[in-house]
Amino acid sequence: MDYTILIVDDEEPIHKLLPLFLVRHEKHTFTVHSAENGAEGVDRYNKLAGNGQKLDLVLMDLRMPVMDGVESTIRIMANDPKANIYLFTAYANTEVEQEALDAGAKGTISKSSDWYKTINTIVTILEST
Amino acid sequence: MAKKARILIVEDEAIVAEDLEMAVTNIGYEVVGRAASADEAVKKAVVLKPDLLLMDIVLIGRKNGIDASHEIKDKTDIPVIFLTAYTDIGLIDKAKSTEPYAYLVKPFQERQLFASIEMGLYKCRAERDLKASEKMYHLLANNTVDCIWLMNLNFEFTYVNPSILQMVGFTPEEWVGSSLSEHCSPEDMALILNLTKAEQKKSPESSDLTFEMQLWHKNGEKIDVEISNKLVFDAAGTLVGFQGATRDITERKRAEEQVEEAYRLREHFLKETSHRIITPVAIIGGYTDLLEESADHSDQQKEYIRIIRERNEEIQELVTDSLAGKYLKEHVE
Repeated sequence: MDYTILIVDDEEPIHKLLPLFLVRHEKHTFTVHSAENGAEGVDRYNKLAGNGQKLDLVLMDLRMPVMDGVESTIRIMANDPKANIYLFTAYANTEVEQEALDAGAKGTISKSSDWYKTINTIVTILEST
Repeated sequence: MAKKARILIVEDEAIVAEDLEMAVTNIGYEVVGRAASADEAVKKAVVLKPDLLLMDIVLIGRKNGIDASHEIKDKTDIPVIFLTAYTDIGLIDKAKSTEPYAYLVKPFQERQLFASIEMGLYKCRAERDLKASEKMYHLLANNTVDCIWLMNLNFEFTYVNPSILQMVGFTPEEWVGSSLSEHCSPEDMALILNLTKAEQKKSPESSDLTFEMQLWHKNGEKIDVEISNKLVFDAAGTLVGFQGATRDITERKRAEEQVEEAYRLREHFLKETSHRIITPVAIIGGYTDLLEESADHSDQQKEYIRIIRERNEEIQELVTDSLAGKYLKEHVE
């Protein structure tokens, strides 16, 4: 399968690392779009969706400048209630995480030093969606 | 056998005094002395500290037994029994003002004397006990920091100890007669009405109600208090009011809030720290893997990479499990 992912995160190395590990996956291929903050993420999502492009997964950081993950989730969900948003965050079980889940995010993928594990989690989610 | 009660005889007629001493000794008491005048009676009462005085009203000298009794009453709490040959109403009325324990009209029989002395000694003991217990309660009530009070069924205060001034700025005189509803919000008053209504269904023994509310200080500030409340019943078992103690818990509340705030800050700090550490950890982990896979490394280079990865994972574990996870679970929740 070829999956399209949008990563919304203000850390540039995270943007770079994600496709570098996704490309190693044996079964699937991935197209990765990235945005550096929430506002850019909403913009990017709407443009891609507007062009009729299928977006299989949005990885959304919570703490970002300009617009945070909660607000971005609210805005993307308002535009596309079917959006498949997962929080991509460092530490779970926070009030902010709960707010984003309430806003429509489907779940949380914890950031980890083990990228193979992260990729496996992402693939499991994509295959079950 | 109990110690013999010590009696002082005040009688100006020597023969009568002699007879009286014999009678008193006969019925089992000890006569510690005799006095013939009022002044002598007062002096001996103070010095000999008898348990009881048998006092003739008519004495030699300017003062009579009633005068002596007044002076003795001012200086001691020794009970006095008046002996008089006069049945004159006016004299007895005068004697009443000294609160004697009994009058015996001469002539009297030994058994009347015995009954009067016994009654006098008993009443005196009971009064002393009561005074001591009153004194103790007075001391307790006046020296406790907690506010102790009595309220009737209309929630009007009928007693309050001096602590009320320190707590809400009202003197006991200002407070007594006021209604509880003047000192708290209508919401708190409604709550108290409900609580006491429920409490009244309980038996007097199990009545014990503790709750928190706010009282208004005279200066308008609100004070957090804890109230322990019991129902008061009369001898017939009819509910007549409430008694209780009120404790100022403003400081305790403030301290509790500070502790909660400290916990909140610590939790926030831990989560914030975790968040800030995990992102670089993920980046280091990613690039470590990429570095390892990028070329054929010497064994020594592989060893260096292994150390970086292991230590990085250690940080991650520390932050997610130990620091934030476990720590918060054990100490905050």
